[in-house]
Amino acid sequence: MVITTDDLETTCPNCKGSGKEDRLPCPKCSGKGVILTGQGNTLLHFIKKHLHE
Amino acid sequence: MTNNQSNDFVVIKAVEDGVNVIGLTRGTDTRFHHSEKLDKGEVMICQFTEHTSAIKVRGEALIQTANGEMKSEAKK
Repeated sequence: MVITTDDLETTCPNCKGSGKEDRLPCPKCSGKGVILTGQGNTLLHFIKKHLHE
Repeated sequence: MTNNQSNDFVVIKAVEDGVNVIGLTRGTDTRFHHSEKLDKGEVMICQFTEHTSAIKVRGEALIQTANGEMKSEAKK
């Protein structure tokens, strides 16, 4: 099974991935420039949980 | 939230690859908190919840709601 970046996150349609709007952090994505998918969140939480084991 | 609202759901079927379904937060600030990528033919059934008060669909998709059916279009 291959997971692509697109499966994990989506470019924010408001700031087009820049993370900024009018030189301030983009209010739609909290300045991240991307929105995580369900799969992205699952992987992130799994790694966070097991990283320091 | 009334029972009627909590049962509200939307059916989205992707007509093309890479359709994005984005959930927007409920509350004073409306942020994108979740996205889901659908490839052609994939179906997603989404509910409006405690956390999600709006759903945005990007790309060509067939959408069914309690109010009827509509088609979103890809950006030309």
